[in-house]
Amino acid sequence: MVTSESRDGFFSVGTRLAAGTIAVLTLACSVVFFKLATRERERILDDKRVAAAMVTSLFATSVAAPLDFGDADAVDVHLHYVRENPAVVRASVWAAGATTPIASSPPGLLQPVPADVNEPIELVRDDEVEAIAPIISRRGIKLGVARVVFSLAKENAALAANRRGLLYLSVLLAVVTGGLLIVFARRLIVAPLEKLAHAARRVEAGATSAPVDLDSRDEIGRLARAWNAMGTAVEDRERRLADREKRLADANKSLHELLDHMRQAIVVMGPDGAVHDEQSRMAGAIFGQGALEGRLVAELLYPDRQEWDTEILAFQKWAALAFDIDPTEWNRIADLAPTEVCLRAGTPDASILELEFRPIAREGAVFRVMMLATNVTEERKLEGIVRNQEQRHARQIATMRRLLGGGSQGFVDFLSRVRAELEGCEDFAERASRRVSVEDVESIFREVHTLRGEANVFDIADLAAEAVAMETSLLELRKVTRAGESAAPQDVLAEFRQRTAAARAALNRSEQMFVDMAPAGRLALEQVVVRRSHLERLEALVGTRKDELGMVVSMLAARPIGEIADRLIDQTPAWAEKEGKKVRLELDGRETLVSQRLAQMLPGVLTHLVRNAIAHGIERPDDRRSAGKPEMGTIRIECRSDTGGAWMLISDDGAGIDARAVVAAAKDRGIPAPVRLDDERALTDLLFAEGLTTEAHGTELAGRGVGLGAVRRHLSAEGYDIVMKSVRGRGTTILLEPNSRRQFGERAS
Amino acid sequence: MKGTILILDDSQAVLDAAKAALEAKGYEVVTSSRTVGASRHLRQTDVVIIDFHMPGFDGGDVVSMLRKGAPDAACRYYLYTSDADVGRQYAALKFDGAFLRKGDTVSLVAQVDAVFRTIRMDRLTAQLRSGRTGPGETK
Repeated sequence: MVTSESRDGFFSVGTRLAAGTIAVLTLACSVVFFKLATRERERILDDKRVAAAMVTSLFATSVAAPLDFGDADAVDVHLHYVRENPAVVRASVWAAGATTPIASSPPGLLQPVPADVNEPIELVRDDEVEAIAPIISRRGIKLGVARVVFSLAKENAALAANRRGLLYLSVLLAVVTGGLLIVFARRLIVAPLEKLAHAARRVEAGATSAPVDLDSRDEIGRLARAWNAMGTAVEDRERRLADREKRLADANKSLHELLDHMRQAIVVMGPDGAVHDEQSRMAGAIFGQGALEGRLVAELLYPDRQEWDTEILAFQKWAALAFDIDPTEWNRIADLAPTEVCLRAGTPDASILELEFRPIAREGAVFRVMMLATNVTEERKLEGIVRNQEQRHARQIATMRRLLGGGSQGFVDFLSRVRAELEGCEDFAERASRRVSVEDVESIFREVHTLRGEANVFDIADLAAEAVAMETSLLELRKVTRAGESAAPQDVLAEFRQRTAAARAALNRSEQMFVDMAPAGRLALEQVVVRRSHLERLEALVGTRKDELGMVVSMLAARPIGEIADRLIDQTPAWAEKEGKKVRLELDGRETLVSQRLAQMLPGVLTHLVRNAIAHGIERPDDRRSAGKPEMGTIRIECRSDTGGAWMLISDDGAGIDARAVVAAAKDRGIPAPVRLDDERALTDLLFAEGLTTEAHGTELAGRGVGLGAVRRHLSAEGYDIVMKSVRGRGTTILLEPNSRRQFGERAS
Repeated sequence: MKGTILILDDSQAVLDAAKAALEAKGYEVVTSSRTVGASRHLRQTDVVIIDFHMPGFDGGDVVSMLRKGAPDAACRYYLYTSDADVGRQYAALKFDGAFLRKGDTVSLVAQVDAVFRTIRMDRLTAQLRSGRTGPGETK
């Protein structure tokens, strides 16, 4: 292919140019030489004609006398002289008026009589020149006509040879010129064009540029330079394009990496409610592996739901509205979208997603809606852990607390009600073995159903599960009862009995848990609701009596300290978080009863002490870590009572009290300070002095110097002392005890 | 306040738990374990949640009674049931929808949230429609 093209190129330019040139040159030379030859012949013929005229005139003059005398022989002699000239072919003499010549050579050759000739004339023919001259006497009388014919054979031969030579010369000239032209054309045109063609083929084969080495200043040189410039420009543009493509690819890659590393799952929803286009890798991790494309977003968010589920219906309605609304009005529907969803709720791998929706507009309409889902399960779990170390029971305990906070009566009632209901179920089973009615089954079913609902509310999963099994047995029973059987089938009843027993066991377990959790412990089960105002009145009437009645009334009015301190357990982590710390509160001896008056004051006192311990005692997590302590600090409240009354020990595992700082702060405020830094009683007095603070700036929790002073004032009004012991780096212990007894050394250590 | 809810259930414990959970989310909640007199709350209520298995009553009877008692109240009635088969028939029982009871208040709150979003969406749709019909037309 390449060779044939190159040959085509060769023929088309070199050969055609040469062939054309040869043809034109040959033609031109031929014409020129023909013209030259013709002119040469004319010149020769003219000379020949003049010569012929002169010879004939001389001949006519020489034969004039003999003819005048009629001497034919003499004429003939002269005729022979003329004939001796090799160029003369024929010669003849006519006497005037005669029809035949007097003499003629060669003899006998009769030539036509020339016309009446008075002047010499010459006739030129192809191969001869005929000259005729009148023969005139000395007297001027016309005597006859002389006629001589000269041959042109010699001149013609010379001319022909001359013409052939010229023709050869012109052909030679044309061929040489053509050859030279071919050589020059090859060097100046064909070879450079071939170079260009070769370069073009290299570009065609994929090279970005193919520079051509041609430095001539002619048109082809200019063409080559233009070609090279074009190649450079193309190469430059290719490089820029490649650059841009690389940058685009890089950007695309980073975008994908960004999307993939984002904790958010990104899903793009079309107007059909289905997933469109690409989604991030996290989307696969959150919504399950496999292709999401084409799946309905509502199904991703709410899998395994009924089609009439309110959340699904609300989402579908929202999606329809989202694609209907003008994009500029997006904020009107933005907060109508779900903000959170719980996937696989109720299973161990449940996950909570925070949702955010953003419009993608095109041509003034919402074209796609982008959903960003963040998995916040771990954060929620962490929050849960901070609030409560026992993650496994976290929910259950929270429920218990909630119930206890609202008065444990509800749960106690629930326990006794369920117990009664379970007894009712046992009775029912007993009756049903003999005879059973539809109404009986339905009534017991409703009770079991209610029991199940309540068990769920209290998060007693095993009780709820047993209730479900009991319901199943009852449904079975209802079927056969409707069919008209009078006695219940034994197998169904046996199952029901077994489930009832299991439910009772579950109830006992939750009762035990409640007792463990309740501020008043097992007392909680015996508590009844009595108006506090009545109790206060009763105590005022007889509480001061030292007899049994007085003691019973004081005990009635007394409250378990758990009721007071329990809420601090919930509040402590939140307070600590505001200070950038992690703290938990432990409460021991929650059943300990405190008098009505102390119970009114203790919430404030304990709050002050706990907040003070958080603000000043417990270190920040990193400080604790470097001190070799667990990040989470512990504040412990221990309550006990003996014959002298109830006492409380509030200890923390924080940094302890900086005695020097306390003394310095006291001096700054003009409060008399002890000299000995190891005098703990004096230090306690100082700490609990009104208006002292060691914090440079009061924090939100403490440091305003009013709390501890007020605490002491309130406590001493109730006959309580404050004793404090602090070890630097180990923590602080504060004992609140009735001032009738001072045994701090024994307890605090 | 995000909206007012009336819950009817025979169990005070269920009511307490639901009330606590919904109030924590900013709803105003009225509860009642009796159906008698419940209709007097309806005028100020957006959503009524009715337990299907109340002793002595079926939820379907309760909703018919409430609708009769307060025919001009604009509230929506929702069935609260653990039985998906009953839930599916909410329309036949004259409810506006159903909440599936899963034994936790979290899912109840999510479903209630969805209903209130729906109510707001309906209002917005009505607004947009009236906006689109142009100022010359009356709503």
